[in-house]
Amino acid sequence: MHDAIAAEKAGITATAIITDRFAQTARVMAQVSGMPEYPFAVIPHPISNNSDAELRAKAEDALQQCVAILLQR
Amino acid sequence: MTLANPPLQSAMYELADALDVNEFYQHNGWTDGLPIVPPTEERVQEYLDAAGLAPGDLIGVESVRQRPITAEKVAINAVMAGCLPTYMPVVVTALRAMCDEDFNLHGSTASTGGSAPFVVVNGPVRTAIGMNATHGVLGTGNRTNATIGRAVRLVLINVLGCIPGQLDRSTLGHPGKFTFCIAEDEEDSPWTPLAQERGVPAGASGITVMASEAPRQVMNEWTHDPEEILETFAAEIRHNMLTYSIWPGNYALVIPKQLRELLVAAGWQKQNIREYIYRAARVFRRDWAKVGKGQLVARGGGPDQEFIALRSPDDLLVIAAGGPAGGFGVVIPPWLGPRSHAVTRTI
Amino acid sequence: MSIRVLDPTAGEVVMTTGLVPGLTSLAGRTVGLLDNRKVNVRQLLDHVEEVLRSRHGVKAVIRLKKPDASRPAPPAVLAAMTECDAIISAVGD
Repeated sequence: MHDAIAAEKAGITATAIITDRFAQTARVMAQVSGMPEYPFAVIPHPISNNSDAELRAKAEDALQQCVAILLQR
Repeated sequence: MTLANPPLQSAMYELADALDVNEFYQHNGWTDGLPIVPPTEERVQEYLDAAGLAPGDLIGVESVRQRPITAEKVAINAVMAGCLPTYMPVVVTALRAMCDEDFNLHGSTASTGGSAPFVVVNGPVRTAIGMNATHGVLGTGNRTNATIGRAVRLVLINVLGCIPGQLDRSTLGHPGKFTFCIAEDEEDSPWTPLAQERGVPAGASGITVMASEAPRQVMNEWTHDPEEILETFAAEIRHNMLTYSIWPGNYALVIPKQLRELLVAAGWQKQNIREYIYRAARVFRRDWAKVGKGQLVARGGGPDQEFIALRSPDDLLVIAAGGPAGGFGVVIPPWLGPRSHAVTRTI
Repeated sequence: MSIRVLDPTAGEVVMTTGLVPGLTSLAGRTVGLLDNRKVNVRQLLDHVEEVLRSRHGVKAVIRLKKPDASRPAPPAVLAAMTECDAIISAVGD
């Protein structure tokens, strides 16, 4: 999250993939970084024990959200 | 207040009495859940004076989110914690040490791992301000120990926004997050004080801070042999490596009088202890099968891959503290070995 | 009788800044994927990369790794990010 915001502040369109358990924290970090409306993609937590098929599905979902964020400003 | 004092910058609130102040601060999430002492202008100024600081003096900066920690905010939170003014230099030094890059203040305080900063105080300041190094040193009962540790936590909460569920992502945390500060028993131990071993000049006061998990108590009353005694500590470290975190880094041992006397009688100094633990605190990848983590055995370097707890003997912090009776000791594991290192500072 | 007390918090110190304008399309663009090295992030980003290449017609995908999940990306990684038209950072904080 912090890195995506750093990229944004450096002038590069950026977003982050966050798991739902961290979404609240991500919103607070965005707020304290001066970008309270910063958009990011949310996928279900956890990923550490997911099968490859589950990761593939989450990747597709995350990318769909990211593309919408990166293209629509 | 004289003309020489720069003005305080913080917003001010007017409430009916101390009980109302407490309810207001609780409601705003400005406490650790326990009642606080109202930080009036007069008290805060007194605490700044005791530390020889101006309100705007910068104690440190949390470097990831670029959050400054000013003397004024430290004084406010120290008053709230229940400190006396004379404790301020210790609180300030602990926070300065935590702003050192090696400590990784943001990572260690925000992580799901739930660490708390463990503060060890050495030197004349301990007795000057009434710290406890003996009976129940890791528990309750001493105002100085309790409130210094608490002041540090309130600064983390209020100045760095380290709030559970928000920036503090601790899944569980542990009671050390309320307060986790002790003095080393230098009077009843021939060993070199911890801070002095780590660079503070002999005779000076210093603090060491380590991002830590909860203390793990061990006991061995069945031997006088130093290696057997330390083997019990090593076993607890090995257990932590397998059940919590394999990563090497700082570990702390707190050794009370009964076990300490046996080690001293056998001629063992802290360096001997460090070298023994460095050699003994090792596990193999296959050991994970015994603790429900069998999936890890076939990975990485295979079942015979060895892991060490300490990168070098110097990673082990040995502290003489605790009451006189009982063959007890404590192992304090790191939050996450490679990601945060203990820092020592002169007061 | 009343008591006046001081605010213990740091307060809001940060100025709000706006977002960079978005891209019109990913086709022909360079996308950077930043891996914070937590478990399964590499695998997740492998799939993201594959979909970017096969369905979005990107010109290039640059894979970047942070040395330490608990600290921000170091200058070398930030510099590499400036070679990209867009960044996706994964996963977590």
